Amino acid sequence: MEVEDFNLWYGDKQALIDVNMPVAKNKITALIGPSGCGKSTLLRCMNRMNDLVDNCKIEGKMTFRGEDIYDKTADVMALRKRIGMIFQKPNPFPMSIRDNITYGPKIHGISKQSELDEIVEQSLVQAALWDEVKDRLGESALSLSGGQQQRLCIARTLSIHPEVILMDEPTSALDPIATAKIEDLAVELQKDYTVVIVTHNMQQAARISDYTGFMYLGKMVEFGVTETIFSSPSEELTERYITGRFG
Amino acid sequence: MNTWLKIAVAILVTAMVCVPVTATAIGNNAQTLNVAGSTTVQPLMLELQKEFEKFANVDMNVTGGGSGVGISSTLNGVADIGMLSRDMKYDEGQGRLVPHVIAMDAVVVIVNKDAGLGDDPDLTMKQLADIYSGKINDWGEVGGKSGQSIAVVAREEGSGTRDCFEGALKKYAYSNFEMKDRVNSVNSTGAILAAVNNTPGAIGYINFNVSGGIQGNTSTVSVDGISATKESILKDPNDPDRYEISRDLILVTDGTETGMVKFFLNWIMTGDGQEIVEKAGFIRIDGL
Amino acid sequence: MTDGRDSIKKVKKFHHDAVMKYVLLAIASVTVLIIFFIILFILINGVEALGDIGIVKFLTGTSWKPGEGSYGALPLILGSVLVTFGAIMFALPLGLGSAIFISEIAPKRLRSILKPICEVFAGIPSVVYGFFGLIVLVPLLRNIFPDHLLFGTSWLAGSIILGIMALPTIISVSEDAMRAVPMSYREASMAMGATRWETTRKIVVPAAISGIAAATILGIGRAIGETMAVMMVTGNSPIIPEPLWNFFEMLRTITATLALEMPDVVSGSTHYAALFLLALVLMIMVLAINFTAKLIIKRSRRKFGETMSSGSSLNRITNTAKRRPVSFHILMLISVFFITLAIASALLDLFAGFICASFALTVFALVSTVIRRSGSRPTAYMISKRMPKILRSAVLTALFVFAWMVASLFADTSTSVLAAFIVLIVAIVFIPVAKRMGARIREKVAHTSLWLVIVMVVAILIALLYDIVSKGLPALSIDFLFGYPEEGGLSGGIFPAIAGTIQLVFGTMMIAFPLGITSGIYLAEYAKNTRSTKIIREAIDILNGTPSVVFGLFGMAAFVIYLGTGYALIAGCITLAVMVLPVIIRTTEEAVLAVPRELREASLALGASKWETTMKVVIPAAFGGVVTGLILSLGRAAGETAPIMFTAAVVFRSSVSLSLLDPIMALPYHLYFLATEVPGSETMQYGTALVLLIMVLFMFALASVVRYRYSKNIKW
Repeated sequence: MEVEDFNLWYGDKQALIDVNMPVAKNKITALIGPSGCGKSTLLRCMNRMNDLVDNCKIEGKMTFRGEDIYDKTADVMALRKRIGMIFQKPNPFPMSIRDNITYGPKIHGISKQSELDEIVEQSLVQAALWDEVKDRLGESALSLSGGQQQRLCIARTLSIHPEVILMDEPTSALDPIATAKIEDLAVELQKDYTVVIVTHNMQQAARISDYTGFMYLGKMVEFGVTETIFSSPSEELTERYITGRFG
Repeated sequence: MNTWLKIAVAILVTAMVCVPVTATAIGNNAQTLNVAGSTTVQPLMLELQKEFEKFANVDMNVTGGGSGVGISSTLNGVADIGMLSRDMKYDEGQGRLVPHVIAMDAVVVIVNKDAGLGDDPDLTMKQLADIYSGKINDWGEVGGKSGQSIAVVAREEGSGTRDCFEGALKKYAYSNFEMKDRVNSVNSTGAILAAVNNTPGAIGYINFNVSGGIQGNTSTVSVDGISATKESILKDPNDPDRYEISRDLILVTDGTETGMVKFFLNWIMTGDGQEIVEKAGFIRIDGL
Repeated sequence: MTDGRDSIKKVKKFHHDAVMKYVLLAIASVTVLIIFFIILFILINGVEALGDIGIVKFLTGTSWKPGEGSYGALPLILGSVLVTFGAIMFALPLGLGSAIFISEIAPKRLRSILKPICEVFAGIPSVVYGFFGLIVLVPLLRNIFPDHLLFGTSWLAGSIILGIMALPTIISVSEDAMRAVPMSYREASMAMGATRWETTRKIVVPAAISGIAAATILGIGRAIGETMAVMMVTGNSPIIPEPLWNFFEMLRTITATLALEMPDVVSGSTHYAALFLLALVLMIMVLAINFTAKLIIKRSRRKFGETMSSGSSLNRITNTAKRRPVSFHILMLISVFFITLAIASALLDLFAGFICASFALTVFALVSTVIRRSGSRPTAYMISKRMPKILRSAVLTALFVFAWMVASLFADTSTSVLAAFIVLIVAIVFIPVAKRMGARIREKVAHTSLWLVIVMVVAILIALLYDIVSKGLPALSIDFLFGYPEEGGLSGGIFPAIAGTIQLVFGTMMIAFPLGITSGIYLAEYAKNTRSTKIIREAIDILNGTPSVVFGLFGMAAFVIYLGTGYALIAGCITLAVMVLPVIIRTTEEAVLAVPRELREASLALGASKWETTMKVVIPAAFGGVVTGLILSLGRAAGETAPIMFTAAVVFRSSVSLSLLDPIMALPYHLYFLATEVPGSETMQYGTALVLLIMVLFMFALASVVRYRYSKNIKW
């Protein structure tokens, strides 16, 4: 994936300014920066979730496997099937655990029961939730704890086998133990998937990501290999932010 | 959840189909005789319909609504015949509607027994007018119980019964009669019966066809010494013994009647038709 | 599966999205067209009368005699206003007292009983209240005031019945407002040593005042549009009471006039147009009332910077009492107007009274605005410092006038003035005594009186229910439920009426559900927030507040007369459907909007289309709310009388017909018929009332079960 000279306006307000960044395959890319810097906006642009916002205008290019995501002929639904998303707050559907997982596959035309069962197990195993819920797949997803719910959401995304998984501060609503589990999961996932994660937590970015982008006021201040960014950033702004001497 | 959804969708689809179907059903009433109007005449018309459909190849629809609906529907062609329990006023008929008198009805005055008018209460036309215009407010002034206030009940504005009653008072008491405002207005004969029966010292007026069954705390009043009977109502207009508070029941048609409508109207005036008129409690006008 | 060579270019797969959007749009437009059509229909028909009568003559004429060509609507408009005013005088203290009791004093268990009781009473059909009024209240009043009430039917009776009807609305909405005041306010006040009563009076009530005002205004809106109950107990004389405050007089409201005279008028005549003009006046009055309520809610919300998605829920209204709220000023203005009107019209005549009252109103409004605007300037300060004193003397004056007004109905001028003076002196003596009482004692007194209020309110409501149930039960039998009426309703059964009501409800459902639900979904999910959407919402709100009798008027003119269906099931169903349509649209929309955005995003992020998301995620999640709204709307449709009495319901049917073009019997209309026209049928009346009550309450119970089940399953 590639982002080139990307600009975005909400009404008159410009939220992203000339953003450039690559997303490497089967790696974890982290986006960090203070609140309101545009990192979530950028992430949501990657599977066109910003289409839902009225009077949102974009300019520039964002490509996926060489094709422009924002091309007029692009099929948004097909795009989102291949670029999945995990949200800040766990948002399972008010249905049973099983129905949560099968929702996506059904939408995309899989109806054979055996096939669906297989997907349910496979996804939950991948999301490290299988052992905890295998005996109560029929129960409401809302009966799970927050961390379990978030892993269920990850399983739900995995069920349709996306190529890229976007994570929008997936651990901000969770306690440390649940957070650790999600982090482990993210690392595990990068074998098969490309992961882009937005996080407030710099340690988290340092711990799990391969590449890190630091954003400030809608601009991509610095992008590079995580180790470099955290040990010897080239921009002063980045350094001040990661050492906590900021605003 | 899924079954619920399916049910919901099923209902939705059924409804979608039903609405247009019913819409076409409304427009699809060919070969019929539509009659609409006064609820006073409606029971009679239903009886007539029962008999008439036995030998005439016709499908009749009788609906109520009120005298106004009768006129409106006939004028705009929705009904072939309109039923009226009052005369047409002003230019309501727009010069097009033709009236056909099929029976007579009278308005009978009733009082609550606490008025103290005795077993055979009688009031003059003038006294009635005074009571209804508000000049007299105590039964003592007309020979009843002194100190008992007169509680006046009337039908609502626009009712045929009220028109008939007011018309008679204007004609036979004084021409500038105007009903007072402080009356208890109700919108049916039954409601008047109920109000007069339940209220000490109440007076009201009802249709002749229900006056036979008066009982309980209410009695009928003769006017100027004449009580309402079939004979007294049918007397010659110049006869001093005629009961004066009467009216015609009218059917109206748009222009001169033809075909099935004419057949029907003629049949009502035959002995068979008038027999039914009498059974329904109205007064036949074929002289039998 | 992860075939990297797939393109994201559009493939030729069928996309429901584009198609469904237009399907929804089409259905929603039909609904909107219907709504605009009704509003236009009434407008055009009504405006026709203006040419014949003249607006000034219509609004100021004091004689309503269509038979003689005089169309002075003032007595009718005043009738509506006065009956409503009386109802609020009766219902506000009781309602507010009960609300305070339930919110602040009642133990938790008692509260959980009282709340549902209130909701039950909000659901009882108008005709049942009217029936109760006619058969219990009217004779009672006649016995209490034999010298003043010939019939018992009167303004007083109307106001009491309307007041009872408005009670549940006032109680539950203002109770919600008080519950919404944060616990921390109460704790802060109590922590400073205030008693519970002081906390209630000085913190909770002022903080919830907007909600209380909105509740009152909603109550007024409901009362002024009432038809059946009012028509049955006010006597329907189109007169202006003399003197103006003589609540023993009979009077007639706009709604009753419409219901009484509609069947007798000829379409196209002046009388016909005049009735539509009356309907228009009524709609404008209700609209103004509801608009005021909305404004108050909006203001209080803005003060808190709250952003709420649902439009009509009053649940979270809170307010601080830093400044005197608008509602207080409106109340002051209204009382100034009426007091001046009363005095001046007693001394001079009504017309002069109106001029004086308007003048006083203007002066008062100007002065109060000046005081409010001038903020910290010295004069304003002086005035506002004396405000409590001014206020107190105003209250005392009002008390004096009121006492005199009531007394003058029973005695001659000098005696009544004397009586008023005695009341005044008692009040003047009482105020310092009350002031000197300890906080504890005051709390005792206040709480005791609140206990009395709640006992009284509950007693009224229970008496109503007990009366109907105890006298209705003996009437219930197989013959009654499955037999046909005999002897003109004196005996036999009510089977055709039960069947007719079921037919009506079913037909209404068939028409209103698809239109209403689809439109609601369209508005919530697809409609952009443009000006036209705004206009549509306004139109829906207008229709939502329109009194039911106006729908009856419309149904009669459009179907019975114009389309020529006569009294027919289909005409009744369409009329009822149009009436409940706005309710269905709004509740559907609210339920759909209440579904969190995150769920939609989750579904979209999985590659679902908007239509799939709506059908498979949003609607199932909103299902409980939607179904609750649907059932409630049907409950309302089942109990309505005014819309069907000119469109579908007849007094007697000898068989149950399934044809859409046949008229039907219906329970509410049958009850009305028996109560007003068939003397001696008390047993049948009570039986019918009970069956109607059971049917309607069953639906409300069903709704709350559904709501409870779904609120348990789904939490966010």
